[in-house]
Amino acid sequence: MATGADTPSSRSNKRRGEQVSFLETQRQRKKTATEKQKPKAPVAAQLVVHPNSSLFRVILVWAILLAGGLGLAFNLYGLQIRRGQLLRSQARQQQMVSLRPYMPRRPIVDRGGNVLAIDRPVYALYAHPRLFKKPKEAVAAALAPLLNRNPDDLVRVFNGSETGVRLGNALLEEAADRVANLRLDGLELVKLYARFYPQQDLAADVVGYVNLDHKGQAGLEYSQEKLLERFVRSVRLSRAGNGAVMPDRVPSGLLNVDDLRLQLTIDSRLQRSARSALKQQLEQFKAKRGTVLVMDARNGAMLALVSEPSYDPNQYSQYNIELYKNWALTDLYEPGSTFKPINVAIALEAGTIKPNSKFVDEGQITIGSSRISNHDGRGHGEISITEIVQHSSNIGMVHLVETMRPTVFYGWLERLGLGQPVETDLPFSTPGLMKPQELFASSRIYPANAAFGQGFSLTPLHLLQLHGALANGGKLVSPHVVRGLTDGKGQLYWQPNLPAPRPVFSSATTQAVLGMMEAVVQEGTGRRAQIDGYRIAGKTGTAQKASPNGGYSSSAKITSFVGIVPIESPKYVVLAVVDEPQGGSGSSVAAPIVREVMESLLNIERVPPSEIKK
Amino acid sequence: MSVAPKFPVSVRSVASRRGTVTPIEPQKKLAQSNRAARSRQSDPVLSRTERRERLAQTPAQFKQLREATRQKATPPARAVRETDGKMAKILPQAQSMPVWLTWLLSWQRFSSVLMFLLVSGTLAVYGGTVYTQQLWSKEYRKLETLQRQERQLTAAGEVLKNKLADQAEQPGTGMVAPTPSQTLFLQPTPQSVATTNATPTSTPAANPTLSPTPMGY
Repeated sequence: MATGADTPSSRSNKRRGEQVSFLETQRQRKKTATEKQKPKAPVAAQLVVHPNSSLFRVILVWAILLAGGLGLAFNLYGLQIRRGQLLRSQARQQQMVSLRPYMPRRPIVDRGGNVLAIDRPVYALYAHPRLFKKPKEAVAAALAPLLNRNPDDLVRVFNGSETGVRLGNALLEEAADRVANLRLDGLELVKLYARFYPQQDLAADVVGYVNLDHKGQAGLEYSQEKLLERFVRSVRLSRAGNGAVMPDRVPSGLLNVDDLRLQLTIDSRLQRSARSALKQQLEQFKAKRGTVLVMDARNGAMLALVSEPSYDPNQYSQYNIELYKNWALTDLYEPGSTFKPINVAIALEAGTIKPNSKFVDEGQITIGSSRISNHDGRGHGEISITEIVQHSSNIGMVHLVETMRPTVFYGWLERLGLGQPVETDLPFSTPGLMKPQELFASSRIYPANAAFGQGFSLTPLHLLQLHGALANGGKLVSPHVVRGLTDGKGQLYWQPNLPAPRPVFSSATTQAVLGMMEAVVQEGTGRRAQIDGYRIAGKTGTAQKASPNGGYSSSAKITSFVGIVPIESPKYVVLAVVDEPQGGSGSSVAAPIVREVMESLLNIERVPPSEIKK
Repeated sequence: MSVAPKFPVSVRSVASRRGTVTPIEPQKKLAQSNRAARSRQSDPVLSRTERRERLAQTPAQFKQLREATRQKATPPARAVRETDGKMAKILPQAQSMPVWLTWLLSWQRFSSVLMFLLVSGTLAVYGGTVYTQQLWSKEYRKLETLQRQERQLTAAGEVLKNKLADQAEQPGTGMVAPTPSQTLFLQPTPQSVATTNATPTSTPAANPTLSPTPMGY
C-alpha cells in the first residue's frame, strides 16, 4: 500500500486516490503474477477506458456527484425562486405574530405628586371545563378559597358550559399568581388593566372615572382621553419553534418606558381641608349639596375643586348617577349678591359712576308690577358705593346700574362671557342663560334684576372666573386643572395651550372694587370670613332659586361667598356655594367655609400676613 | 497520496511506463528526485529483479521495451524506482501541470481555509444570537418584576396616605388643621450687617416680601 505524505490540496482526492491506487496495485499484482507466464502485452493497451478500469470508476463517481449537485441546485432553484414567495408567506404566517401591547393609561397625580389615578393589571379568570384533567369538584375545591366562593357554586358553573366560563372578575396580581401556581389545566388568565383611585372620593369630581371598557366617562378621564391613553401600533414579532417570542427582532420603542403622568394643579391638602369644611357646614345646615372652588387668579390654575356629596370612582356603579357630574361646571344658578361687585366694576369701567359716587337707597321700589326691596327690608338713605356693596343693598345697585343704558349694560354682560360656556379643560361646561338683548332692553325690570344678580344664570365656575378678573387686575383667565405632562422627576414635558387672558377691566377699576369688597369683610356681611392679620376681600350672596312653577321659590335659596386674598397682591379666589341650606344665609353658611379654606390655603402657600393689625 | 487520476491527459505516457511505483514523497523531494533522475537521463535505474526479468524476456521483447523506455527517457526523465517489488504509477513531473490546474488547486486550498473560517464565524454568531436572546429575556423579566414592585409600592403608599389623612380628619384624634395664627414668621437676617438680628416676631412683621419658611408647632 503506497504511503507517504500527500499534498494538502488533494485531501478529498486522497481517499479516492488511495482506493484507486490500492485497486491498481492489487490489479497489477495480479497482473504481474499472470504476466510472468504471458508475454507482456503493450502496456498502452492496458489502461484504455475500460468498463472495469479505475479511471472509469473515478469518472463515474464524479459524474454521480455532479449529478447530485446539479439536482440539488435545481431543487434550490425550484424552492427559492419558483415557490419562494409562497413558502415565505407560509413561514411568515407560522412564525410572525402580530402583537398589540396593551399600554396602561397614564397616571394622574396632583400638584404634590400624590397619585390620584393609576392603572393596575388585573386578571380575568376563565375556565374551560372541557380541558380539565382533574375532576370538576377537585378544581372547584382548589379554586374556591382563592376566589372566595362556594365550591358548589363553582361546580354548578362548570356544569353550565364547556368552555369560556368566566370566574373571577378582577383578580389582582397576587391572587392571579396563586391561581397560576395551582397548575391546573383548563384555566386561563387574561391580563387587563383596571383603574385604581387611591384617594377614593377626594378628587372624584376632578378626575372622574372610567367604565368597564377602560374609557373615561366623566371628569379629566373623559376630557383628557387623548393625553391619558397611549396608542401603540401593533408590532410584528417572529416566534421561535416553541412559541416563545424572539426578542432580537423587536423594534425599538416597543416597551414605551416613558413614565409621563398627567400632573394637575390641584393640591390634595387643600382639597381635603375644603372637603371637611364643606361637609361640616352641609351637615349643620342640612343642605342639599355644596361646592368649593379655589383658583390662582394670576393664571387660572385651580387649587381645589370639591363638590359634596361625591362618589368613590373605584365603585362608581354603586352611586347615584347624578353624582357623576361636577355640578360646579354643569349646573346653572342665579348668582345673587355675589354678582354686585362685577356690576360695580362694569359701571366704573363704563365711566358712568365714580368710586365716590353716592346713591339713595329707599329700601323699596316698585318697577312695573314688581317690587324690589333690600334683603333686610331697610333703606339706608344716601350711601356711597362702598356702603352699597358693604350692606349688599339691592336698591342701591338698581340705581347704580340704571346710570348705564340697558344696551350698554347688556353689551358688558356679553363681553364678560355670560351666555357662553367657560373655556376649561374639564368637560361638560354649561353656558349660562341670559335674556335676549331686545327683551332685556325693552323693560326696566330686567336690568334692575340683573343689578342684584337675578334674572340670569351662570355656573359657579364662571362666577369664579369673573371674580378672578377682579383679583388679577382685570383679565379673564381660563380656569384649568391640568398643569401638564411631567416625568417621575417632576420635569415638565408638555403644557396645555391655554387661551390668552382677556382684559376686560382696568386695574384702577379692580383696585377700587377690591377696596369696597374689603369693607364687606371688615364691617359688612362678610364678617365671618375674617382672618387675623390678613386683608381679605369678599362678598356674600343669598339668591332665591327659581321655582319649577315659574317665579321664585319662597324658601329655597342658594348661598354663596367669594373671597379674595391677600388684597395687596391678590392671588387667590375662593368661592363656596351651598345649595338649599335650611335657615341660613351666605354669611352664616358659606362665609365660614371660605374662612377655613383660606386659612389652610395661606398656610400651604406660606403667605405672610399683612401689616394691618386688628 | 497524490497518485492517480491527476492527469488523465498523460495516461498514455504513464501507461507506457509499466507502472513502476515510487514511494510517496512530498513534492519537494519529488522535484529533487526528478532533478536527480534528470541527471541520470541516459539509463533509468532498474532494480535487480527487474534486470533479471528483462534478461528473462525474449530479446525482441526486451529490445522493444528498452526502446520504449529509451524513447521516453530522453524527454523529461522520470524517477523510476522499485520499492520491494511493488508496482505503482510513475509520478509525472510537476512542470507538466497546466496553469489552470495550479490555480485551481491553490484556489481550492484558499477556499477551504475561508470555509473553515466562515463556518466557525457562523457558529459563533449563532451562539451569540441565542445568548443575547436569553439575556434579553432575563432582563425583560427583571424589568417586569421591578415594574410590578414599583406599582405595588406606589399603590400601597397612596392607600396608606389616604387612610392616614382620613383618620386625621376624625374628631377623636385630637388633630387640628394648621392655621396662620399658629405659624411663626421670621424676618430674614440682613446680609450686610453681621449682628444677631434674628429675633423671632410672633406678631406680623412689616415685611410683605418673601419670608423664610414658617415653622408651625
